[in-house]
Amino acid sequence: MSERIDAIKYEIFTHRLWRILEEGRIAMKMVSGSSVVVEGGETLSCFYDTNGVPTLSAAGVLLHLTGARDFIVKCIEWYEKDPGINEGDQFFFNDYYIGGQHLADEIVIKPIFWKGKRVAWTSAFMHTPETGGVEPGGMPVSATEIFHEGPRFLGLKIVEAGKFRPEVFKTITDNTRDPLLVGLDAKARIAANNVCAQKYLELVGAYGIEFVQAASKKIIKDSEKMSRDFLRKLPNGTWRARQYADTTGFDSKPFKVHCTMTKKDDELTFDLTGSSPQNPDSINSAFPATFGAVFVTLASQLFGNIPWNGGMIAPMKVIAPEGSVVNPRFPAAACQAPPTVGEMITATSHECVAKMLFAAGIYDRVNSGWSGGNGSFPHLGGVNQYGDSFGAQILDVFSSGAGAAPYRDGVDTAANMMNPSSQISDCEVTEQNVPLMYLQRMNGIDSGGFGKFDGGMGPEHIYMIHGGDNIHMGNAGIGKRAPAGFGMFGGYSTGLEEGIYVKDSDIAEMFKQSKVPVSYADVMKLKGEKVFAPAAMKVMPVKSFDILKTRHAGGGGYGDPLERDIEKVFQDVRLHAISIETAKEAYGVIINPKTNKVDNEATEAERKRIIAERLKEGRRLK
Amino acid sequence: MRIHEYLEIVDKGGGKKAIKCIKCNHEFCDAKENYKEYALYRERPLSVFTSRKLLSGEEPFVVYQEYICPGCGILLEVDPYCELLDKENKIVWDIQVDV
Repeated sequence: MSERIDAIKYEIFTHRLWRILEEGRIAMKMVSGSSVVVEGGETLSCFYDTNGVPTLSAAGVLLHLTGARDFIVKCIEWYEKDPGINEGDQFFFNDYYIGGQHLADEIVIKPIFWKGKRVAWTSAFMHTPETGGVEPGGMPVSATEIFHEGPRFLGLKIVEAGKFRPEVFKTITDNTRDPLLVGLDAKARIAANNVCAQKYLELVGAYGIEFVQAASKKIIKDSEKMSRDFLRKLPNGTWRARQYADTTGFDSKPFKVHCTMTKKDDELTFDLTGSSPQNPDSINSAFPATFGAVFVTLASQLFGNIPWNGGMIAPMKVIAPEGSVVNPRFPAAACQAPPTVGEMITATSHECVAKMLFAAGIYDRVNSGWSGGNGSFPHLGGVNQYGDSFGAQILDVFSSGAGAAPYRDGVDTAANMMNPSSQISDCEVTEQNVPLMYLQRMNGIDSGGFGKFDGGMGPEHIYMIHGGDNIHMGNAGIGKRAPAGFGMFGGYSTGLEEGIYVKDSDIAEMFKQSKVPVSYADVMKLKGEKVFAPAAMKVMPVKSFDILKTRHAGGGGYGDPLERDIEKVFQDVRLHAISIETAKEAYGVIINPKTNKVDNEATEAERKRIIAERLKEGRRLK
Repeated sequence: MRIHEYLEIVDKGGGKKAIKCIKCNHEFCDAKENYKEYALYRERPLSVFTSRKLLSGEEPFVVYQEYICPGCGILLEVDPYCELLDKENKIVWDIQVDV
């Protein structure tokens, strides 16, 4: 049938199918009240064939595109015979050993029936702000088993034969600290599935079931062909990358992810052998999450113009040794997967892909590492300013810096690679929902990697607890004691993440003088107990007027910094993208602070001195 | 064939290919080998840059590995390196194009 499909009709159908999925995402945003969805855009709508193979997706968080399919496969395997998968049913899952990244990634899947026969599936996937784990906020970093992260849901029928089941709904919502937002999220998924299923059936009515199913198969087949055709144009070879990071807590230890990418003809293998053994904390990535993290690289860097579905990933293979950080054994905790090991898998696979694309001469798709760590990513919970129970994450990390490219600097406070359609969270909305105030939000000076082209800047923030005294707060992520985003071809890696809490601060005195802190120096001057937080830290009690200052990494640099145009370095200093010290130390550019001008003679001498020093200090390995 | 901002694989004739610096024409090695092993190598702490010092005073787990062209001094690659984890696997062979 597919060979006989009219090309124009097929293109219109494909576009309509994609628009329906975007409508599904809009439905989720309209119903949900959580900032991770409404502003962060952590949503996925997808259609699948009758067996769970993705036909077309719209996202959102790229991590989830592959992570959702296995819920359908398991639903069929477990429940087809008993209690049955019937028209009007919807199933609720969240177990990341089946799909998704962590328990906060909840999905509702819905079979689509036509004339009594199941013809497709649709799914709505969203991150929810609370899971009822041992810490508030859905990512309890002190978890050491999945059981500490909250209840696992393995296919509860939240809708049965079209009837909403309040007892299932209440079980899901009331097992968390934030039943209101978690409940809205659950209903948002159901709403999105209803939109997608209804519109899908309208397409069936318009085009006929035979055409819809044949065209859906063709979308998958075409994606695979496009992926394989593109791979054949690239050179064969092997590329390798590794990244280090820090584990949870004040006694954090280093660990690593190692990626070997082998491209042969139209096949691509990512072998993560060499990655560290699984961590005893919650910094691990279960295999579905690992697969999704590689997919982020493919979707955003390699196959950006190919429809995202099961065909696109057909040429790809991921090897992840069991018992390692990239494939821990059940019931190891992994709630920090997305901003930690997941980011590292994406970063190392991205580095391999970027260097392969460069060797193919496809320079416009090459860029250095994006901020790949999200350290000091705050989560908090307790009783909010309205006297209600709450749990939340602050998602400013979605505005991380992007990597530099062979012909330009990286974009400042751009996006997180796993969620390129995200928006930076709205301060006012966050302050309305959470007992917290923003005192500062700005591009972080020196946060990007140094290079001929600089990495984009990451954000800095100063938060103040406001409106509650029964609150616990901590942070998740990596990137404090090892840089998270890679530099490329002589460019340096990203800056380091850092978070400082000031407990019992005297900030009220500063307010009385009509002043607010805007820098680390200002925060350090505050009186109170200073806590230098590790990148991931379990919650501690906080109260009104306690302060958290965070700094997030930017993107990686590209090329030797000594090749950077001197005028650009001067402008970077003028715009507070880099400090005057960095201009000298990394770029060899001397700026006279008295005249505020570049000293060209001294700069030329300094650049020559740095080259001579490299040649003198560098030793031959062979 | 250009494989890197500053490196290319060139045909030397007789079926032999080599990796050379685009800037200064320095020849590193056969195209089947790891150019990093033939570069100048040094390790530097992250604290060589003031902005990479942690306010907490803690030391990072890694140092910079810097690979330098012996001919012209251009910086070819900077890799973070953690001796505690990778003393036996110090150098990452990042680019190995089939030739």
